[in-house]
Amino acid sequence: MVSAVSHDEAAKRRALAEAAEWFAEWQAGELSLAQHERWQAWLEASDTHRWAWQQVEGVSQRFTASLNEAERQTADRVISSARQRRRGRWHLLSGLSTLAFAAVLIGLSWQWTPLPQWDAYWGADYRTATGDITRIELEDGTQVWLSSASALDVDYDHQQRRLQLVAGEVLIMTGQDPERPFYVDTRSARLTPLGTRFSVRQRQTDELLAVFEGAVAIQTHGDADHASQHQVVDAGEQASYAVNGIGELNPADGSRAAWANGVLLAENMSLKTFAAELSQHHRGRLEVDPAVADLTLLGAFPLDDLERSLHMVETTLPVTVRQVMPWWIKIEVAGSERE
Amino acid sequence: MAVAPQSAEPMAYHTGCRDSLGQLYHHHHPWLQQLLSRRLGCGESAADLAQDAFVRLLQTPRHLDSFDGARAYLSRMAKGLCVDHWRRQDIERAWQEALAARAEAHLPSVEHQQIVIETLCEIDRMLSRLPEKVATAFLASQLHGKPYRQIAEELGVSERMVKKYMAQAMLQCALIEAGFEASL
Repeated sequence: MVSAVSHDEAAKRRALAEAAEWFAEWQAGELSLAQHERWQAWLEASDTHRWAWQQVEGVSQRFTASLNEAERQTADRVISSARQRRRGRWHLLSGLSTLAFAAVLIGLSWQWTPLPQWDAYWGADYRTATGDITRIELEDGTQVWLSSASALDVDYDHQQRRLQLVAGEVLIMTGQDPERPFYVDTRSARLTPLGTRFSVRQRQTDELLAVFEGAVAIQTHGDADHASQHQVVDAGEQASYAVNGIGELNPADGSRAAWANGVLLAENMSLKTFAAELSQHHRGRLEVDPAVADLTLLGAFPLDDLERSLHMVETTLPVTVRQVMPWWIKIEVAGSERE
Repeated sequence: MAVAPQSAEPMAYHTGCRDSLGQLYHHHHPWLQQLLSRRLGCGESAADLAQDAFVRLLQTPRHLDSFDGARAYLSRMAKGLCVDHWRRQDIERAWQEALAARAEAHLPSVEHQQIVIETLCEIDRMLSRLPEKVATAFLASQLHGKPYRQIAEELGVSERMVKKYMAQAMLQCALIEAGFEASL
């Protein structure tokens, strides 16, 4: 039954091996920030990857779809006892396939070096796990809310007060100290606030600053091709920026402050953006069917109660929330059932 | 020794065509049923399985280019049918035992039990090529949602090894799911 393996099939087999590796990471339960980003990038890199992940999803569903809790409890005993009975009959286990697996596993494991950001995250003075929001009060009265999956270094001395955002998002209400200047350093800029309340969030390719009181000055680091830029962002404004420059000013998005109170504020927010925001606060995957991705939402949703938030979405929009796997939720067009 | 067809020429069949399948049936059905009966040790099951074989040939047409080629193909098919038959028997028996052990007041409906048994057969089929520990780890994680640490303790291996088992099992299942490999 040996047949020539086409180029296409070889690529698909490779993608399946990678998808299986990612699956094993997911099932471990603890996916680091860096890994999560890598997984997302892997998934979005090609149609073949997405196809492979669908196969993984299909397999996983077989194990749960038509079995209830009690049956699942019994299922593995049933299967292992059936396997034992059978072992007497079969001597046909191919050693070859086991060798092929080993080769695949070795081939992939070397790629899994952690990103530098990962080290910084674990080494940071303050860090939050996915789903946690922490409030920190610093010696000068500065209050910091550290959002889900975020990390912050605090570097205060007698000359300056310096915070370094290592990962994620912070909301800061600066305390008074005329003697020592206050800075927030991010990946691509230095922010200088003046008695303010503002939030800053590091995203994959840029950063977002929203100012609610006072004003914050951005000074980007610049690089070989781009000069450093300066911009003052006033209360009620927000701007995105990266090492290479600062984007235009927009009205500040209230949701950038609301999370500190455990609330996701959606003001005509698209379902797609909503899911992305919610994903910041929960492990696992929250996927939105492109058919409903542009529906908009209005309301305040509890960040720490995913089930309730999604239920609220279900009652206000024509969508169905489906739990594909324990760690994977899909928002789909209402009434769309998988065959 | 099997009875050869009247003509000495090689016999070709296309099983999607009823006439051709009829010829195939005529030439090979008694032989196939006998083969199955020997393997299974049960005449009744053999008759059922032989019937199944021809239904499958009608559903997924194949071109068999000679009398011997047809026998070789049917013989491989018979092997697969026996394996499936035994699997179902094993699963059914184990399920009945488990059900008896639970001793609940109301038993699930027969229809529902058939669905469960079919699902278990499917899972078993997918895991059939995998070594014991790999299959056990995968079931523990997928059916019970057990954390790797607990699975590692139960199997006496490291957590890293459990993770490898999971990837190995999922790859095997996904290859079957994608139709790249057949289950045993």
